[in-house]
Amino acid sequence: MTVRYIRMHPTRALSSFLLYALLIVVAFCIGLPVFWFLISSIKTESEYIAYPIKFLPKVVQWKNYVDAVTLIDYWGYASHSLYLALMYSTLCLITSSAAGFAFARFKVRGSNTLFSIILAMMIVPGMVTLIPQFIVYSRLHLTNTYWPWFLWGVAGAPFHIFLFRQFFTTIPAQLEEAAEVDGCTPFRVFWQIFLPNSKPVLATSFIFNFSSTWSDWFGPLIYLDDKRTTLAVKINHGYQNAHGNPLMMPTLAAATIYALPLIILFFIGQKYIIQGVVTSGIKG
Amino acid sequence: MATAEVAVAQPERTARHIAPRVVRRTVAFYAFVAPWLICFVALDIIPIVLGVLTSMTDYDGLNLATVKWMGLKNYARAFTDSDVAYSFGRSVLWSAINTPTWIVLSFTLALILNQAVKGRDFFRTLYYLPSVVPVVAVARIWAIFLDTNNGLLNGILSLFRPGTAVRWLSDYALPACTAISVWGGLGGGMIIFLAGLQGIPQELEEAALIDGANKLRVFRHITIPLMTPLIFFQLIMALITSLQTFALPMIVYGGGAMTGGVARAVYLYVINTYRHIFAFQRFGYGTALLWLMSIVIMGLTLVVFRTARYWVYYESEAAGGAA
Amino acid sequence: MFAKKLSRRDLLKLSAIGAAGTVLAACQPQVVEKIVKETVVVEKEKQVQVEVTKVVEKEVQKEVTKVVEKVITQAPQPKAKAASEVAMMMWGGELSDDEIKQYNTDHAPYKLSRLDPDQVRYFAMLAAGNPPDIYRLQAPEVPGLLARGIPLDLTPYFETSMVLKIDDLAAANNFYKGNSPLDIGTGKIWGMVKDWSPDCTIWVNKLVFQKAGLTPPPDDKPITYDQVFEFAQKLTKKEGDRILIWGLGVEWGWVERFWEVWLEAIGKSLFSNDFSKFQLQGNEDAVKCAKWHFDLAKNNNVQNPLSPSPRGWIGPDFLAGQIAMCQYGFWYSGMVTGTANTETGMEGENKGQAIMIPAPLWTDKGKRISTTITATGSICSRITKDPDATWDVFQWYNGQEPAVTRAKGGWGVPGLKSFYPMIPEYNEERKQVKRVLMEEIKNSEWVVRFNPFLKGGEPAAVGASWATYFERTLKGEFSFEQMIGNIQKEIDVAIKEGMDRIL
Repeated sequence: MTVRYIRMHPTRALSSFLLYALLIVVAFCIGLPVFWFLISSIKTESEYIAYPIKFLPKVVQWKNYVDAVTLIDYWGYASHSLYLALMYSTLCLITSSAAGFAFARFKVRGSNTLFSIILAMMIVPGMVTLIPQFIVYSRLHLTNTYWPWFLWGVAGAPFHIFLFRQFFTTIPAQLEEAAEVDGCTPFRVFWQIFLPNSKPVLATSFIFNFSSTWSDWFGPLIYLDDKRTTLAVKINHGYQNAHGNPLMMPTLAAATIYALPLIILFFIGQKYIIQGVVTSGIKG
Repeated sequence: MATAEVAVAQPERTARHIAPRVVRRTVAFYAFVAPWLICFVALDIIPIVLGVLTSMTDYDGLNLATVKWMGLKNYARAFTDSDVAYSFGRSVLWSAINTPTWIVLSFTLALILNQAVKGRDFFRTLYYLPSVVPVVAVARIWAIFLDTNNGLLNGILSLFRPGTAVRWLSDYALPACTAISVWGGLGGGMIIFLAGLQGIPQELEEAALIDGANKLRVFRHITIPLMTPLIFFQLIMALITSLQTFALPMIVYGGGAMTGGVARAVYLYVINTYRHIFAFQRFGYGTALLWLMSIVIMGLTLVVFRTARYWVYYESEAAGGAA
Repeated sequence: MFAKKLSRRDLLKLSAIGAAGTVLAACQPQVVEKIVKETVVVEKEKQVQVEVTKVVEKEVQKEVTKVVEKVITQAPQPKAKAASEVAMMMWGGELSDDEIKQYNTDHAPYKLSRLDPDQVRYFAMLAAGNPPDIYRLQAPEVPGLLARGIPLDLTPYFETSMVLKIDDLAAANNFYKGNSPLDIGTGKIWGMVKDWSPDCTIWVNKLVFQKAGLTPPPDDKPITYDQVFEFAQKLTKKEGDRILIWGLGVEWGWVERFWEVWLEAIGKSLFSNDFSKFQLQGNEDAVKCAKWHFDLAKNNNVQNPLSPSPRGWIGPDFLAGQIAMCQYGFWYSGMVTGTANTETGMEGENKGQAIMIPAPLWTDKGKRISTTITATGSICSRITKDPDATWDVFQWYNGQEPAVTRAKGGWGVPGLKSFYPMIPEYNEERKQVKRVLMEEIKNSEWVVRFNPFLKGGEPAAVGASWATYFERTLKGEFSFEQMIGNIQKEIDVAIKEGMDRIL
């Protein structure tokens, strides 16, 4: 990286300018709707749906946030979401990376068949297996419990297995061969060579799994009753008037608070993603 | 002692050298995939089999008591259903537009944000934000912008030509929905490419630069090849998800979507399928339609995999690979 | 939450006042006796609060107390009960956590739990053999479910209930009565409404009329749909291509229900007697109904896919004054006039300008039908594990505390006629609405026919067919006649499939 900054050529400055310009334009396009969403959460309902559009509220409506956390047992549901997201992400990380490692490095009998199954599972749409799967879990008396998420975590996710496989194939083979010559078992190779060099993809996989479980409003809707459900489900329909129509303002405020952990997680996680790869012993 | 060892060990050593290693690696492989495999066999096979069986019945969600066997009639029907054909075409078009757009844009962004630009962390987090905006808010946000009579975009255009009421979501449905889809998906794609870019050893790039290569050549001959596994991954994922898209138009067109009441241009395959399932109680037929699409996607995936040997560079295989 | 400010605590307060009041009033001896016996305890506890609440609840008190006392004194004494769990599919806004807590406390050892209504989940639970004990649905779904043997026959329970008396049931409950799916209206009782509204009434924004130089229609006699059509055309305001105000607000998901009501007013129907035929194409009367809606959309007098709602649905659009007339039922008063403690209501200059007018007439000569076309309610599952426990929850929800809260909230007409006095009228707007409502209720004794072979609940079959051809026809891909033909074809196929599945 140091090499690049030495030359401050005029064209360098121009390309640098263009770069920032592009970044800012994209940031504007992406950020405006998000900004709108945030600013809406502190308006009154009439300001929110007003035409012509009112950009700023007359009075900041912190009441929306108060309503958001008091109209429902916000923190209770958030804790359910947190529990499921953490449990699932951690378990899935372990099993998916293990399976991905195996598919990437071990070309043994049956590995291609199993990998085809993994791909096929990614393609099969959820709706075709939804009801039968529910029946299976119902017979096992696991509906309205958190056990399905535990089991799904242990099972790993095809998407992540595939991701790890792709990533692990980019790690130079010399590392692995050197370790083998040294007498390392495959497990040690995995644990001490591949994983430490995979912080970016580990972080990515965790962020993805956490986000998707945190935001999952369909799974809990099918398997959990109101007392045990997660925040994602609650936000969709939790703020209603007596006729069942949605109350927009607490919903928006709730959605903002609810997005915060994901943003924080990403902000922290992306520091891991930028940690470079340790490539000791590559000169073979 | 030593001679005896050698004399005895030598012939055996060749036999033990290959077989035990293969056995060890096979055992290791299965040990690593055991959690997934066991759960798959125990929990996934039955639902899949039942899912296939459902597609051969006239199940409507409620009539287990009177459900009838249809054999392959549902599948045959799909080929004469003009709605199915049309919506399939729309989904293919949707995928053809969205997939390259998404991959190219998120790759470009990842490239840019991989460099030492000021405010890099801020930009990355900002680009990721759309994926954390919950579904419930996305439609409202975009409706505010694109609404025909009261939207911001038409409002701005009305400043130049009063009374403008371009029907963005009706006449330009495909571009509008693509824009929303890209907006929401950039962040996720960017992260994966960022992770991949970070996996490229810096020494390689620096060595090439020292050897006199300019940045473009470094990009072409080092970065891209080493990123091909992930590009391949993103391509497959994009194919799978874009052909099965249904949520986005459903959100944008509000309650109308379960009835198939989306703009004709985005009348996608799964939207048509859900219309059959939820408005016409054809759960069996709908399941068959979903299976058909799965078969198509599996075929496409197979094709992409076959082409992989021509353009995907696997470090492990290039260097002689693992056994 | 705002509408539910009158919680159980308030209820008990009021009953205490009632108890105090009625002991002094001239009542039938047996009733007095019952009150004294059963509510004495309550009165003692709430002595202190009587003073405070007396000031607030002046007028409303008198009417309310009579009914409330009936509720509490006549609640059946629980016989020996085994612990049971009852699962109920209901929205959180319709069954609050507080109410659930109250039930679990008062009706122990029965326990109630709630789950959000969801079609797919319902299918899954049914398939697993464990459906929710109480399922929320609307009238159009009843024939279909009945044909599949899903609901539990509640007639024996109704016959012996002291809370839900059969002759106290409002006419809207007839949607849940029937001896066969083809003959809904009288007979066995399968469920009950939780609350209902005459859905064909129209809400009028007087200010929009005045600004357009028109006189708003009166609220003591119904106008005709032709007049509604004219008004809708004259009230639509445009600026170039932009629509600023739409003349009428229509709920597109319910179109076929309206057509059925209009046809029945002239003695016809969309379906043949045995529901095996859909009579749209070639049926002049039915086509006229469809054309009424279509022409309004074509001229952008009504929101449609080419001119969509800026806020998602016509509810908030009317509040903002962007729709001149809105065809919604009494329940909409919860949003228009708000309730005692909410902040919703007409926006800005539109405040106080909305009135409810009677359901229009399809023709001058036809019947005056002002019935509900939704009748949201619940059924019990035929395979529920403990029918007594399920009935206990059902009875509580539809006749005891939650029903009282709903009645007083003003979001719907109660399912029990004796609860009508509880419908709120605490300000001028509410009084106008209630006045029109009580007239409409007189014309609501009508059961609209719904086809058991078609999906009735939203997304409904006919509604979905309409929705998919609507935009294409508006854009010219089809002519109106072709659209009707397409819908006819689709529904014919659907009915045949439905008959294959059920018969």
